[in-house]
Amino acid sequence: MQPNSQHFKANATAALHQPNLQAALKQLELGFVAGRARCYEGLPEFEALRERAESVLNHTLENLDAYLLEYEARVVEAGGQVHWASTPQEAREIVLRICRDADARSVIRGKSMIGEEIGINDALEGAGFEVTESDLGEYILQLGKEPPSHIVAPAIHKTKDEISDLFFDHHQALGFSERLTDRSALVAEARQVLRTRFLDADVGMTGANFLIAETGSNVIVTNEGNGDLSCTLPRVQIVTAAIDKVVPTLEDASMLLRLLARSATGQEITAYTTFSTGPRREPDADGPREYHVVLIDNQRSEMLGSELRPMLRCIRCGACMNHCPVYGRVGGHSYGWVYPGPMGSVLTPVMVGLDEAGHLPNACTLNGRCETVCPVRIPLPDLLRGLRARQHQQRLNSASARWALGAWAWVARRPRLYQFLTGMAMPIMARLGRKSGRFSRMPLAGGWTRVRDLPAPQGSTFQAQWQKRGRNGS
Amino acid sequence: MSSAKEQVLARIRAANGGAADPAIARARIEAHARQIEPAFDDDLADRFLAKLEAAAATVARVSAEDRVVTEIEAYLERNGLDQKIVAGDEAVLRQLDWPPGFTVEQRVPRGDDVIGLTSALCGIAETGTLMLTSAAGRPTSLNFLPDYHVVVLRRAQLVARMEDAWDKLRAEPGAMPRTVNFISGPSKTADVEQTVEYGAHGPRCLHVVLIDG
Ligand code: SF4
Repeated sequence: MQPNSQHFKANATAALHQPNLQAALKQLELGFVAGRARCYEGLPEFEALRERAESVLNHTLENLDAYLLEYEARVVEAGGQVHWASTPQEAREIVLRICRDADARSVIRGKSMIGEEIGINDALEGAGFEVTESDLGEYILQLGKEPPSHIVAPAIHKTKDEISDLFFDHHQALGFSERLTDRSALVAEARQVLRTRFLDADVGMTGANFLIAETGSNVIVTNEGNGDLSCTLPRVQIVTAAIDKVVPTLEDASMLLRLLARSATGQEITAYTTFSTGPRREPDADGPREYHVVLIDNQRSEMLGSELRPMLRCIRCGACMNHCPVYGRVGGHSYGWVYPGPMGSVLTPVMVGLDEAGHLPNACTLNGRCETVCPVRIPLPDLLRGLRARQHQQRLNSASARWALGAWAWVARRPRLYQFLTGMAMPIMARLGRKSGRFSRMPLAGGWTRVRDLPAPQGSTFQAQWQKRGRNGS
Repeated sequence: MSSAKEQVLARIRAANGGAADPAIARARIEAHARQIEPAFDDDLADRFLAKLEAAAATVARVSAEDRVVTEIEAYLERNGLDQKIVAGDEAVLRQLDWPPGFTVEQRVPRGDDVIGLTSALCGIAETGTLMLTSAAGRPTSLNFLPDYHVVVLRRAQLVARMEDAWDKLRAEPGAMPRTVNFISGPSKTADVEQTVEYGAHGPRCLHVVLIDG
């Protein structure tokens, strides 16, 4: 997908004026956020689990080359093949080659963020393959030709009405002549349409929530069972997975699964958690004849060597965006690429470039909620601050921002001047805003005052108050 | 030019300040130590069934094996279903004595089969989860294609946690099966306006029969 992150501000402004989106985002708060809180209430081990998860994943990253090689050896022993790709381009070429070699015509996909990251659907369709997304949310987006707006619930921004229209438009050719408005009828129709796609597909593609070094297995978690049909019915299975998905053992995966579903959807466990290992064994009754894994780097090894290393612990639960006040207002599409919210604001600049996605690390109030809820304790605000620093070093922020920061830094290094200037500014601002106690317009701060007021300062500066208190000894 | 694999590994090693010692990874895998496991002390069967029900599965407890068929008959009746079943080839199912009128076939299911009947390797009490493994007489598609999935297992097959299930699997002969399915309720989706609907792609209904004796 073409990144559109440089238009974050315009995207966000538009999003603020879409009532349907605002209602959906509100619902997210009532659903996922409340569900997660309920779940963890019943789990006194939560903090201990987070700490252990962090340390297990840190250990894995420290020994990543060794675990990847162990994993690869087990896949090969089980009769599967592992393909390595440095870039999205290489990954796409590998997938296309596997599909061509298998004489495939149709591909069924289970939802996977790495698939979005490498743009696999466009590549497959461009090469003449028939591609169907099987996750209901992704299927809706495929019909609407839209990118996901959430990593767990990709179509949260779509209303039932819009889905009714999409199904009506696309399913008439398949013999469904009624425009359905009932939620369960819509789900049932999609089930019927997709059932034949599952049965007809030559290739099933999924991502992986984890790869297990101990056994060479890939793990997928779903509630719909679509990923499971995708990797069971077609004769070829392709797993696309990033190199940071590997964990050492089945026990490690079990621990992380306890955190994943709770953090993602507020479930203790999803309806389906599936471990697949190699192709079908003789004399298994079903399962694919070929099993391929495409291991994708795409900048992750660079992140490993940088201050962004903790980001590689991410288990893609989405909790950081569910709890982000910015995401909660502007929605996923504003971020302009595959990964939205706090985790996306770290990943997007790395994967599509800081020049394209420079707004994202700045679209953050550093309130820290994301870090507090992250099940693997990724210090997202620190990482975002780090990216802002990179931006400044690479002179990618705007000239006015650089000038303002420079001027502030110059003054701030001169304490007397700083006190003098702020001491002067306070009474002036208090006076100007004395009528209502707030400003509804302010030069240089239009972005703020267009949508809300800026409170006028009350009393003297913090430093002046502090000094006074110190003198009084209170 | 070196292969993509060599390049990826070289970059990882550069980032980590050198190659990892494979012995460290191997030792950790060998030990496969358990991590933090949530504490609970409920009765395994009670917890297992309660968790399944909370996830919208239906459950039944029968006192002995010879009650299973009656229970399934009643279940089909309740749901207005034909007595046509596709079943897995498993010890506990082979012993069932079906009354006349039932068609029970052992085969890979088709897209329009209505009822799938299987057992499970074990049931996990912590989360109310069934663990099913693939094999010659146990097609994975049987767990996903039919609208109704009925699972029969004995109380002795219950374990406390997923880690116990792994131990059980490791004690079985042979390597890791091609597919291990953990199933904790019927198929569902919340992709239409964040409201749960059952029967997205997998079974609309999951019915678990526990033989308590
Ligand atoms: S950064 Fe943390 S909270 Fe956000 S998706 Fe990743 S693991 Fe979840």
